Amino acid sequence: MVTPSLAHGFKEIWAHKFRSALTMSGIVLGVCALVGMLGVIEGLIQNMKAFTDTRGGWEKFSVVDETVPEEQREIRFLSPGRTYRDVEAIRQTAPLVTHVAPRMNLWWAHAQYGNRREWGRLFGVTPEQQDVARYEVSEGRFIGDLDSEYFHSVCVIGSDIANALFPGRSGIGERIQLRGQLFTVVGVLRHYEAMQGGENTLRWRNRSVFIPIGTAIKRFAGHDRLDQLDLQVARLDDLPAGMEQVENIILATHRGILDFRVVNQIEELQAIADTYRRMRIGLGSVAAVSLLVGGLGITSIMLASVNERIREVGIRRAVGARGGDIFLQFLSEALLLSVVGGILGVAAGVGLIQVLTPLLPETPPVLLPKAMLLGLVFSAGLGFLAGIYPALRASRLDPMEALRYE
Amino acid sequence: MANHPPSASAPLIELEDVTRTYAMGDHVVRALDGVSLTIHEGEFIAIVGPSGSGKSTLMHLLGFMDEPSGGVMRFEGEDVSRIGSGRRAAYRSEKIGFVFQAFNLLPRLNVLDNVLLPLSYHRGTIDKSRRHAEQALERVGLSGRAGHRPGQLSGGERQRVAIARALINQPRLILADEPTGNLDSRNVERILGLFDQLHQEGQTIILVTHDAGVAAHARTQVHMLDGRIQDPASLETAAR
Repeated sequence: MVTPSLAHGFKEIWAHKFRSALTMSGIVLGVCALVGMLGVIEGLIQNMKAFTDTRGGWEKFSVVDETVPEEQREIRFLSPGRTYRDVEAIRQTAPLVTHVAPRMNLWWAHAQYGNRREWGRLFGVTPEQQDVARYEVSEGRFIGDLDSEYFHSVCVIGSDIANALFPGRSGIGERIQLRGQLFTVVGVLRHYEAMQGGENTLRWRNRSVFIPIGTAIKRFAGHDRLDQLDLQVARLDDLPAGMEQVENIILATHRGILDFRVVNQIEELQAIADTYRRMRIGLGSVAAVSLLVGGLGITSIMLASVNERIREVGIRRAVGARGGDIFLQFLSEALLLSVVGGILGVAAGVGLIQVLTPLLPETPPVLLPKAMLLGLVFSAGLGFLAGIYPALRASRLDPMEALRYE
Repeated sequence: MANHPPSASAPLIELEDVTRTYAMGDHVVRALDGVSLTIHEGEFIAIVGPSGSGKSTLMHLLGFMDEPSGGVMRFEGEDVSRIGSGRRAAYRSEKIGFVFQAFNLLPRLNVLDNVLLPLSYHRGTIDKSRRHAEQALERVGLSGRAGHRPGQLSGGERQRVAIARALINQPRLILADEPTGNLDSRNVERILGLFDQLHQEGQTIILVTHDAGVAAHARTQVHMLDGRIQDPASLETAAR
């Protein structure tokens, strides 16, 4: 007789609107917290993914500067430092390394077209820079292989620079001045955005100006020291061996001086992922406790309700209800309370995410269907557990005594 | 007694030396002390006695709310002395209709839903439609009150709703426990008239009361005292 008890359960909830609302509030808040919390963390994770994605994948690694150890201080001049010769050596002797992406920082420079000028950050790069640092070109092309080899005067500009110099039109093929020298624009980067703490952490990308590294060395720098050296292997499995190859090569080109270190991003990403996992567990247990409190609330209200309705139980038993019918009636009421609470909680969670979205513009919370489902399943399971004891008590009432109860 | 079945048929209920004892602390209370009683289809019996005489206990046994501690109870020829609470609930659901002194309607359900309540536990084939409940209300003269709450009705009207509820499962037996105890004299007449009418239609009715005037409506009276039936011989003669 589930259907009539369900219909009756709805009536019972409706008859005690205020009490039912109070009873449900624990479940509503718990589910709301669960959906909201998982949504906020998912927003953080997605933002982190977008950010780390622009820094290259797990297959990427780098050669970075390191303080020379004490015992080598006296002979550190033996090392030429990180230079373009390292690039050539790696290309020739490290077969596992598929991408060698050196970068030379030429710092700020005016980009000028006619009487329009805009500040930009000037870099000397190789074509591999595009793959390793995940640059996308919205117009034209990136720096090519031959550009560096033949010292072409070409450049690829960021979206902010393109908009400033060529508002409303394409700048491809136009010649702009960089530090007084003419360069032909061959490509424009797409616009980048990754908001964190109210700032676009990728805004410098939109102000970048890339020129071939060979051209940079010859026209501007006068030396071939690199500011950054990123590398990439084809597969994650190749990473340890690839890093070792590079380490050995650089050790040779630097004449044994330990003024460098080969690092990958895995530890860093692992640490970030670990943090989010801990947040999820921590905040998840807060939501779980609040759900549990909600469940206890249902149990206590259901017990009160059973005590209030002893006479009703007697009447129902007298007209033919079995103990099981009474059990089902009270259990379904508890279940109904918690499921309705769960549904309201999911709705409140959706609302919470709507409210939080403008407050967290850089990491907009994400509404996860998984979290909504989890909330519903949790609340239903909790209602079931919360209802068992009161329902059992009601079903075990002696029919005659219940009927006499005043 | 035109509606009586042939006397050759099995009686509706037979009690043979039925006892019902309760443990009250250290000593045992014998609420029923060797009761034997036979009730035929279509009879209208009043069980009369002062409070504590065991008439309520007897009514609970006859209404399958309780089980005898000793002796044998048969219903429609079947031994139902010890059948357990589940089957007793099934008997209540399909064979018995209760009418109480305090009406015992559910205040949050309207009249029609109160009348329909027993059918939500009825597992047999029976018309569970609202139409059926409306017909039951018509029989007790309350067709206009289906949508009312019990609280909006007078005592007499509430008791008629309770009678409609008792009739809804087409019971073999209606058990009425002091059905007029909470009513004024005008409504007492009306309710008793309704029982008379049901009796005329062939309904078996057992009325429990301490009021001799009410008991006089029944064709047969069973007098109880101290857990026993007084003078069973007079019962036999009255039944003829």
